[in-house]
Amino acid sequence: MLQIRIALLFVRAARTEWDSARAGFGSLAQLTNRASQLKPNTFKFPWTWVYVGCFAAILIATFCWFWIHGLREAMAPEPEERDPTARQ
Amino acid sequence: MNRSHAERRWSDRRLALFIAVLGLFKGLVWMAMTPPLKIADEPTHFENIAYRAEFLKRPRYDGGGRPIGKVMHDGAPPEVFHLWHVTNRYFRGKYLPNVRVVPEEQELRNMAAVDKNREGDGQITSMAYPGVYYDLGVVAYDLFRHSSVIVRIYAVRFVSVLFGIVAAIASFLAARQVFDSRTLALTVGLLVMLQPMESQMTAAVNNDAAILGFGAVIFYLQLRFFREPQTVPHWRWGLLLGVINTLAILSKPHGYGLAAGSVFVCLALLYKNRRSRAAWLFCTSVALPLAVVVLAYQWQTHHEGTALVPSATAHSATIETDFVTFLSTLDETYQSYLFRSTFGQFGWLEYALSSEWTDLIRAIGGLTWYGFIAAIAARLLWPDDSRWLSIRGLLFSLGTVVFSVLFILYIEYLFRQGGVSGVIQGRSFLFAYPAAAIIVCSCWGALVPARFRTLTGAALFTCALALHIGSILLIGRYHYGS
Repeated sequence: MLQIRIALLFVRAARTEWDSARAGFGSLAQLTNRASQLKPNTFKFPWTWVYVGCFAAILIATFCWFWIHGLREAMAPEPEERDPTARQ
Repeated sequence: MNRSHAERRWSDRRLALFIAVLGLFKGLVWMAMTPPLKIADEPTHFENIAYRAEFLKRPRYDGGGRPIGKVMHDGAPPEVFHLWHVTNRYFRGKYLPNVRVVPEEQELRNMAAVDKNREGDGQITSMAYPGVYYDLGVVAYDLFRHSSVIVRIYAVRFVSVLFGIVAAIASFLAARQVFDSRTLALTVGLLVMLQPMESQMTAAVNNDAAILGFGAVIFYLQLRFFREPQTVPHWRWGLLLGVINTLAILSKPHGYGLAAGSVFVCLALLYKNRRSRAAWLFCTSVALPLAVVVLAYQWQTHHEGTALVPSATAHSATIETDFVTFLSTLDETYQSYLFRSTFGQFGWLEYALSSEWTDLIRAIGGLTWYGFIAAIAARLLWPDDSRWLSIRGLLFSLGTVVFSVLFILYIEYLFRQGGVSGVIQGRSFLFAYPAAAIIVCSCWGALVPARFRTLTGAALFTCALALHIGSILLIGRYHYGS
């Protein structure tokens, strides 16, 4: 539980970072324009959306897999111990 | 017979491929996010590569006596000098509105076509560094020689991305040597990959990327051989370890810190197999590349007198204490700076992770400490139940971290004896990060029963992901906010 609590605190810190960053970014158009200037063509938007999209998709999938798989493992019943005296 | 998805086995190779793909997209995002020349020391490292590519020789001190500019200088290639000033202009609210292409990009493309614009005087702070990383960067540079300097910078950045992928995969494989849990081992690889400073340095033109990549491979090999010292590996594996260790040293002197682990592993093998010719052959194979190449390099630099050159770095009074006293009296401000800059200081001090993040990272460390005690106690009290974790591997990882930290601090100590302070930054410790990640995952895993270890991995991955996102937001806000 303590491990999960620490993870939730990290999530909260990221949320705080997002809240303070969002106001400064302005509109999405402004952000993508600024981030495209002085970059090679393959690192200007909209190309960059490919990298961001793939990165985000893989991360989200990994995150979901970890927690779903982890919870399944945690809630799986303990394997029954074989009674060595029982008849097979 | 059809195998269900639940029965499908995720082999180490598939997970390594997954890490590689994730690392590739992560590297591309970080490359895209950061303006050119705006990652620490990128100008000097790029100039080093450019000098080697243009003049087919490495830069050397010309003996002029003037201080070497730390970031930008009058002798830089004109296109680099111009780009530096352009990137200082285009910052936050000063970007041109409603456009994605600015006029200076065409200027830089035009400048690249003229040879003189690509040539600098090579009087740079990185000229004393060895050149494996730079020579690799020349390959990428040459592919785009007549393209804009911006394109060449990004081409070399991609070389660093490849080193970052190698570091993450090697960390995963190293973790597989220490514990049975594949999900926790995957967590180690992801912790290394998502570490913010590691992400920055493996998306930058910087020889730290090479140390991170080589360092992780060296650590994996050391663990692999140390795990069962009674088994002597083939001498070809020893040669591989020796060669990669040599490449690390010839990328950046931090590589010497990695060699200590190789020496330790060889001694452990010999202790168990001192009558085995194969063991002596293996250890000779490790030592031979190091002895031959590194000694030759040391002789050459000594002969040329290229040890230290006058720098514009801030000077301070020399210290005359011994190393132990230096450690015990290291000021708290510098200690705090080192800790902060290990995890997230992306440029100047205001461009760093807040104390909220560093406090959370300390919380991970605190729980890790309890887990370490639990792991040792479990091995002593319930040895059969604790075989999922190699205590030998855990202790080797701990030794690697401790030695690496002391080694880097010793470098700072040497600099201070020469009257220069604050040279070492937190990112210098990062080559020990795979070992640290293994310690964290092992110890957190030791606190829970086996069926909760994937959840432990999930929790740690969530922490790493949150920190990673926070860093991306911080960097994005710094460069592109209003």
